Amino acid sequence: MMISLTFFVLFTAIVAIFLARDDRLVKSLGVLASGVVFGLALYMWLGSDWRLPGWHYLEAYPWIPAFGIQYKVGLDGISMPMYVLTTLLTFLSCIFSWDIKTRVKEYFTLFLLLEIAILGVFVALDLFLFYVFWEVVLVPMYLIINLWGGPRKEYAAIKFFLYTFSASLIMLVGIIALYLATGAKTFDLTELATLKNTLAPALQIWIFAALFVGFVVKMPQVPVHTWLPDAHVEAPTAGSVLLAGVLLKMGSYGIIRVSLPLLPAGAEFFQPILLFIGVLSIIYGAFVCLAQQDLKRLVAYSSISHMGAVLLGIALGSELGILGAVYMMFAHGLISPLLFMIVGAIQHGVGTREIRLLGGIALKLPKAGFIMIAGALASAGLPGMVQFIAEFLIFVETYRLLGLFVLLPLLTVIITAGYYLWALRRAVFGEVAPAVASGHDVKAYEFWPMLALVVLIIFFGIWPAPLLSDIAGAVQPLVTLLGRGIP
Amino acid sequence: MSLADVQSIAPELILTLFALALLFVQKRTPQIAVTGLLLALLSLFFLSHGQFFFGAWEINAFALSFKALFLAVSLLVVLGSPGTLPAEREKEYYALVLFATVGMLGVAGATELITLFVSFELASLSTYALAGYIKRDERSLEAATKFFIIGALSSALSIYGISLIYGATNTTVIRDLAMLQSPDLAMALQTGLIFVLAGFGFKITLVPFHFWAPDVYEGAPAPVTALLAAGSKKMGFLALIKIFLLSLIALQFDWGLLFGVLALLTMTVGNLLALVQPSVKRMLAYSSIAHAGYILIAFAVATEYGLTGGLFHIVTHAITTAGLFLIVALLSAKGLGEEYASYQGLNRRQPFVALVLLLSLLSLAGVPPLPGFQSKFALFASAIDGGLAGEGWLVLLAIGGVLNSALSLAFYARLIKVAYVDEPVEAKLVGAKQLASPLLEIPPLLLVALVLELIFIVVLAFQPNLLIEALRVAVQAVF
Amino acid sequence: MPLEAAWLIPLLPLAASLLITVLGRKLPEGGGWVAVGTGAIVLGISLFIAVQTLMSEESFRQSFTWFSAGGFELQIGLYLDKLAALMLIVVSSISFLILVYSTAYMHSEGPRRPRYYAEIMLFLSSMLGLVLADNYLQVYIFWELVGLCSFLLIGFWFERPTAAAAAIKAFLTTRVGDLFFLIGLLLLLVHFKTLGFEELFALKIAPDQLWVIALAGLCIFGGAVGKSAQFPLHIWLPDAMEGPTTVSALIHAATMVKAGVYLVARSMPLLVQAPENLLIVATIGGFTAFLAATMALINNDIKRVLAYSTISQLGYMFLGLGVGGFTYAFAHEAAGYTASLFHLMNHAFFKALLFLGAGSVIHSMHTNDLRQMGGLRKFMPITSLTMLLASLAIAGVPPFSGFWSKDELLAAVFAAAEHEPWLFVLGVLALAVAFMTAFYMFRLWFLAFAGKPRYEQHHHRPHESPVLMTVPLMLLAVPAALSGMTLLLGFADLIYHGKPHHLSALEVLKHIFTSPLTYLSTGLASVGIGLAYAIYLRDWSIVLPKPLTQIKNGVHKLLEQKYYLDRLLVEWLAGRVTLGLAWLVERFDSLIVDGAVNLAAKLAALYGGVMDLFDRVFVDGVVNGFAQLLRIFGQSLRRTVTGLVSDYASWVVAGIVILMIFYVTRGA
Repeated sequence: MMISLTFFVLFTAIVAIFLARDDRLVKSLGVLASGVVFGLALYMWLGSDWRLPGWHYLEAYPWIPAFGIQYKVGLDGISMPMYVLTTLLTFLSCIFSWDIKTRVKEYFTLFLLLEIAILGVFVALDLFLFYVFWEVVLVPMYLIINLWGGPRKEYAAIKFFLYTFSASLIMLVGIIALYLATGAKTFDLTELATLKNTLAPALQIWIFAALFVGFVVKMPQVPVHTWLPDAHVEAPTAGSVLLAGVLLKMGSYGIIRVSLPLLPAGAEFFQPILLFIGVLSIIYGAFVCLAQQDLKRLVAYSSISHMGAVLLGIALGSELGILGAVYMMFAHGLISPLLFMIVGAIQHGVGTREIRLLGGIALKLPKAGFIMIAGALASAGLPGMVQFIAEFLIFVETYRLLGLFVLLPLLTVIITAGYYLWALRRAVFGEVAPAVASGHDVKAYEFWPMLALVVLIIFFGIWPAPLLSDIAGAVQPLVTLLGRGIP
Repeated sequence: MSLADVQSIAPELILTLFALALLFVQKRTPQIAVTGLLLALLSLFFLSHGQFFFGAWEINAFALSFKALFLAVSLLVVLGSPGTLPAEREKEYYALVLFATVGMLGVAGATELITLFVSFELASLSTYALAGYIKRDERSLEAATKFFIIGALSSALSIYGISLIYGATNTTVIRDLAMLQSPDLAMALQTGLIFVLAGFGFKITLVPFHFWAPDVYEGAPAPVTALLAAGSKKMGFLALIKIFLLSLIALQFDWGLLFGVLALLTMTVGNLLALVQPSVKRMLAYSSIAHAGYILIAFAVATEYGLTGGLFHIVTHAITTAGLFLIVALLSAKGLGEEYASYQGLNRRQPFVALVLLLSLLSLAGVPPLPGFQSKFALFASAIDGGLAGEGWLVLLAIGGVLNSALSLAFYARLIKVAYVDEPVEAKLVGAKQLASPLLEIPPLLLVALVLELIFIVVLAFQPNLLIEALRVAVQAVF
Repeated sequence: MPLEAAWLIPLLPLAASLLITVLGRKLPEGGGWVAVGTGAIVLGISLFIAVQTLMSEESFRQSFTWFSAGGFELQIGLYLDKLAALMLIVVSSISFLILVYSTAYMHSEGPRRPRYYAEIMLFLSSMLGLVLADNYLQVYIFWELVGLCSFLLIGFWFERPTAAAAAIKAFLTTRVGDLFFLIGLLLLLVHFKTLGFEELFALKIAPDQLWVIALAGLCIFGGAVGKSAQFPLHIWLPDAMEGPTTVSALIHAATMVKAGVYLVARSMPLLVQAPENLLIVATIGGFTAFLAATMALINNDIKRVLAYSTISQLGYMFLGLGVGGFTYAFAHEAAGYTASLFHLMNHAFFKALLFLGAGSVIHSMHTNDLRQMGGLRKFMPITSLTMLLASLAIAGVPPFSGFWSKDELLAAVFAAAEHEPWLFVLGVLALAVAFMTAFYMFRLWFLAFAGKPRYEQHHHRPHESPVLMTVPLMLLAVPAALSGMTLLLGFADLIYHGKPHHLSALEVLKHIFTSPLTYLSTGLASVGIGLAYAIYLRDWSIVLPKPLTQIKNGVHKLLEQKYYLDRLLVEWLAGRVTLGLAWLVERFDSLIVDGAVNLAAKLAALYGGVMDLFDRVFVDGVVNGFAQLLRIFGQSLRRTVTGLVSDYASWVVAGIVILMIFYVTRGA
């Protein structure tokens, strides 16, 4: 009942915004709605013991019985962190974009619509419903980039839309094949999971490939990643926050929720390929970052590198691997929005993101400097922050299963620290650049969301036990289902 | 000619009476036409199933569903016409529309070839006249003449085909076309069928026979184009379904591959050409050709599941295209023209129309959860189901369909971008009066039509089950 | 006071750091006195806890589960044993004195003081947390946090590009070391399912798993090399002098750089199981000591001389640990281990004093360059006297502390040399280092405090530093001079590896003064001091024969370039190779992968031209060449739409003909 209540709240908010006349009212409605939804999400997280297996807050109503499609939604240890993260990030981005002036009504309507779609993806337990929400996410994101984007926004928006839309159509063919091949004519994930051994391995491999195309383009991983830097550079700050914070996680979440439990033979066959793509993305993303001149593009490429670590964790297929991957998704979901917010705030305050033109931010804009350093160090995986825990789990598991092959991703940890510190040196330390001298520091409505993220990043770095055990509660049954538990 | 027979043709009778009445009435003609259509729609529910007129006329769920579709389409067209067409000779316009509808209803009810052909011709002739309705606009005249010439050629072909079939099977009742007199006549039957395919193929803009469509769709006044794209095209499909799917399954002709190739060809050509059109109206014309290609997949799959998908797409495409052409009518009537540029900033100019435009375009492109996506989903699912069951190439057809709808997104998204992102161009004068207020006012009846279409899309998006159940019943009645 | 109070030791400075960050400017002295107060409390608790631990026989451990994942249990805990007690005393005492000193030294910094004190407090809490940790993961976490604080503090004056560059160089180089430490961690965690000290040290290692222990031990030593600036990862420490001198004193002399020595000492039970590891530790230690000492000979920056001296002394300690562990493998007693930790304690005190002294000189002279100093003795009596004391101690002149620990170390090295001839070479190197240390320390003292003033009198009025700086100097001078006596009071009984061998004070004295080694090392030290006196005060260059000066200049040039190591490691490896590679990859990305999209576009345009299509290009935001290609197909199709009805009719007929052919071929 809670999930439908959340959707209901969001829909009424959109209608209210549609009717509201004055901009301030629209803004406060937006912030209020996302705040209420975030409160609901927190209540749901604390209100249920996630270590118990099975779906929490389960709701199932028939939607199109003719095709065996139902509106079935529920949460478990894996989808809950993403669910809470989405509500948090939308709430923070609504506050962050308090000074938006052009087309305020459309802005907040699109963001709430985007939130519904993303939440839908994470709660859907029916493959068809999952696909519907997966596609619906594209429309608001396309319009957000197109309406409030940077100079090359049309190119970036249409590239983003076509890239992901065509990939997800190939995924659709995979879903239909899955729906028909089992003969049970149902999209229910739990039922399909029980039928997985009826599928011939060759068919499983083919379907896994089709689904993987849709998921890997969304993550994104090398070589289908070129849409991400353009989309991020041109998207407005709040858009980038949601794009990097949760949209990228839909891809990896899809693999964990759909591909692994339903197509074990496919997962077994593709494991080396997944491992290769994951590690390649980690290294490739890190190296390209070294040569970036635009702060936002740098953070975008670093997202590709970090999502590579997530794919590496998933490809390991063992309990610790997937646990590390999900925790990494949550960690990156906190850190990359922080980085995008501060880069956006710096561009807002100083007027440029070119590292060459920046300098001495720490001196002239102390608050921005502090957040920039905190974000960069968090993303470089400094212990005491959330990403270190995730990377540590993934590296332990990579060593346990692949031996000294772990050196490759481990080496990139240094390169990551390298390109962040290099950027810090050019942009934050050093003499005060003319552009920075005339700039103004971070405003209150920009500072508090960022500070909240910094506090969360440190909290989940110091005290990960509760969240980790919640996620483990869902990962254990998944891994035993896969038949490759801890040796 | 018992009483029951008369009752069976009640909707047709009502419409004919209203059409004739229209010729004499002076004012408020659109309202009369609307009442006529509503009455006909109402009468549908009271028709009793069964065979009438010595087996030449049948009322079953399948026929009823198509009749309801045709009446709905012409209702939209009639609602959309008043504000957007020059007022002189209104009477003939609405009478012709009603006559065309009667023709379509006739095709739905016919069980034997001759009745089918006569109703087909009645509908076609009225549309030829409608195409040339605006006398002053030479584009409309050019469209009408072209339409008439090609239409005449096609009906000649189809009647020749029917005679061949009659020669081979000694009957015109569609249901038992399969009883061949003797094996060596099979060749005659096949050639007859090819000629009939060519004749009716013209109406559904099958690829080699589609050339007339863009010019006619662009030339004719927009509401008429809506009738053509949503009404008469579906009538063509209905006829082909009756002949090829329902009767010839027993004959084991390997038509699947032929229809598969034609389907792929039609959708690819339609989408490719739509990609490069400067005018929105011409783009929509080619897009409706492409959608005819998607519907043809049902013929290639030729299973009950495929036919349901086909019907579902026929209904969703009909309503959405009708709505789109009405919006085109509105904008060209307001002097904004039919180019992409004329749609700039439609969102600021008229948010409601822009919303309907957005939803219809996304539905045509197949973006979930809109009805267009669900019908395409059902179509592709049936193709893949067929593919898994045996004919592997059907999966390729499905993938072709999927990639084509991805391609179609390009030009739909372009229009959405223009409508939503660009700023409205103020001094856009196309020989019409200066726009008083930036906000476009909509003729009341057209507004009703758009609201109806919006309701159709939104309801189907959340509860498609209603329509799907009805279509499944319709298909079972016939298969 | 219960031992559980030890939890307060790391937590109090953390709380102080948060308090100073938040209240900052409103606090007196920018949070300075809050820091000093916390330092005092922590010193009190630490001394109390340390004394209790040293007195009691068994060690105290208290830990709880931090988080468990996939079969591993990771703890956070407290482990108090004699080694931890020693480190506690050293770290807390020196940090307290340095905090008092920095209230005066940093007074002129004005609004930036809160940031300084917050970062120092954060450093203190992580260092103490590292020392008290009960498992390797906790050590690793505090290890990196300490690295972070050193990064922030080196780059304290971040508007100076050199400071920012030094901070990043320090962070990245130590990060390379941390990477090895992490690999060692992974090895232990995966193979033995635990990282706790007691569990690991109690493990009975099966022969087939010995390679894991050997490799893990080596990796842990790799981490120590990074943090304690041993060869080849030593390049960052001299540059780290860009930070304030109090930071150099606390972090880069007394505490952080000792963390590496502490880690190796803590992991001795693991290292001992692979004796050849210990040889490596000893060799790297010895070689670094020698290398750094040579570099210190000719440097003219007072802080860099002390930095090289620190690297050299750290090399001594690693040499001691390596030798101690090695002999343990044969004789089950580790004299080197005790000597090394004894030297760690002594060195911490006198090196902190040297740095603070240098700080007060810089504070009054506003320059680091020894060539612009001279004759400061008259103006800065306390500083010069305390620095003289410290120089004597470090040079190893009896009865000062350096003499006792250096002598013990040399004795251990030569004692172990019987088992392994290679150690004899290291012993000789150690002796050479003893000579060089005496030489460069007194060169520094003479250049700074004795001789004619080489600065313009009217320009600089050198003055003694304020009392808040001189008092800590004096307080530090006491242990710098006398900490050697603790050896007589039974230091060896407290800090040992394996079993303690109790020697009464008399036996220790007899043992030292009978061995020829003592006289050899003291002799070398005095020769060093004499030579420095000759060259830098009396300028008796004639003392040196001609060829010797050529060699001296040649060596001088070589040392000047720090053996070209810096350029090799920093410019070439870190600079050109990685950045070059990055540039290559970035070009590859924009040219090949993202370029593929535009490449297809060019192809399509060419195809268009060939087909001499005449119409306007309708590309309006269409994404990539593939889309253009489709557009080209669309155009060619479009040409078939002539608009002539006759054409349409002919197409209809053509269609039928095709269908007929299709059937004739298939039907028959």
